[in-house]
Amino acid sequence: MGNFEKRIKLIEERNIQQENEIINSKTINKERLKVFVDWFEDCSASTINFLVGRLQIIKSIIESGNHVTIEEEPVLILSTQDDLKKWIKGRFDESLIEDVYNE
Amino acid sequence: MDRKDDDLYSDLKLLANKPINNIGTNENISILNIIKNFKNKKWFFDAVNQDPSIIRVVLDKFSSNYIDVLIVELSKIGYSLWEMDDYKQAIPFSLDSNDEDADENKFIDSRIAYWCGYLEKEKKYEAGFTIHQYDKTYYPILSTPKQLGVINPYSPLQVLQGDNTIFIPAFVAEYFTNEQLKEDKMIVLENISSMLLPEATLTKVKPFLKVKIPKIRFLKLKPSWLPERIISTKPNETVTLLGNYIKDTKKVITELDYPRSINFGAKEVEFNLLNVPQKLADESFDFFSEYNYPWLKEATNRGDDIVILSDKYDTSLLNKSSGELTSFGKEIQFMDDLVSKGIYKFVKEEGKYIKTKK
Repeated sequence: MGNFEKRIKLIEERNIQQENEIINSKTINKERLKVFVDWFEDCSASTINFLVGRLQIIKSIIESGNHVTIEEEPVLILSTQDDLKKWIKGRFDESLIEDVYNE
Repeated sequence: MDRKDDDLYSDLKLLANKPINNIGTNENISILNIIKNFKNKKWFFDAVNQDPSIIRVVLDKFSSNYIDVLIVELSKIGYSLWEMDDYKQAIPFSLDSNDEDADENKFIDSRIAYWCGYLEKEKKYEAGFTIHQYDKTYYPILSTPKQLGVINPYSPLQVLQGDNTIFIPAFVAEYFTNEQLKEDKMIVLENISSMLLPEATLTKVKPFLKVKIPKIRFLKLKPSWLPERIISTKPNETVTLLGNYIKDTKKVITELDYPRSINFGAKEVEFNLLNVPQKLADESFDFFSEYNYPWLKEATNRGDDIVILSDKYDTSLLNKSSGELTSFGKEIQFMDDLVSKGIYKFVKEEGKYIKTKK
């Protein structure tokens, strides 16, 4: 395996780890939220892809009957898909709802 | 030099400079007789090679009823003097406007037009073809000419006619190039083919060169900051697109059904966009350094045209709320730096950066 492949493998592993942290904690903490906002404001195809991927995890957690805590100020609890859609629209951009829900 | 041939050539000059009667046949038949009666074909062949202006005038004025016979007589002289090397080096020429490549959905229709034109100063011919490409409404998008060679007036060009290959002199190819009525040309060529083939027992010539039409993808778009325009990929070059996702890039990615990939290499049929897969979404590193920078560096090292989809003068697209540059902002900064170094220039009307010297 070349250096590039090793690097990609490492990034993939870290990504899975970060996704698992969200699934296990069912929480988007302040640090993570800051990254989400940074990805959104960056607004390149890649960073929006990253953000959409994470939002889809939140969608799946809600689908499985759980709620997700977002460490906004004040703290926000997303219990339904409508809650998530409202949050996406208010925090990010309405157009991303389509990306999150059209997998 | 045969004196009598010299006289015949003078007669040909005289006739060429007079009106040639298109209704009657006297002048046409006289000219055909002159050409048939040259004893030293090599002398006539060399005279035309030295200066084809007389024969060009004759072809231009000749009656369409007799043009095939004239072309056959002129070609026969070529056949009697061309050597195997001439046949081997013969440039391809076709009257058939090739329409086979077009394609599915977002690729464009292509046609090949072969041409052979006279170079007045050099008294030689330039032969080649042009690939014309259109979108689905036949709006012309791109014409790519390719010269195949500069040749003597009597050099042969190979023409694929049905299953056979025939050879015609360059000045005849020029006549066909200038002729506007395609159907007439094909009938004339069929007549010539049937008259020439019994004498053309050429088995060792190379097969007719088939031109491979490069696939070109096009995109009709309305960037958020420019009028509607069409952009297209280029044969053997990559066209890279930069922009803000929500304003512009999303539309393009959707329209092209563009894949998520970490292939930063050249893309000759597809546009080049950076669209990294979600599985590489590491929250703790600088993704510009990880992805955008190496991707854009590779694109500019190749000399890609860099099409700017979003308004590069809109600071809200260049900066985050923290004041830090966005990826688009950093990409624009990177490109403007290349402009200041004289490596690229920005063409505002087209909304793209172009390498100054490729």
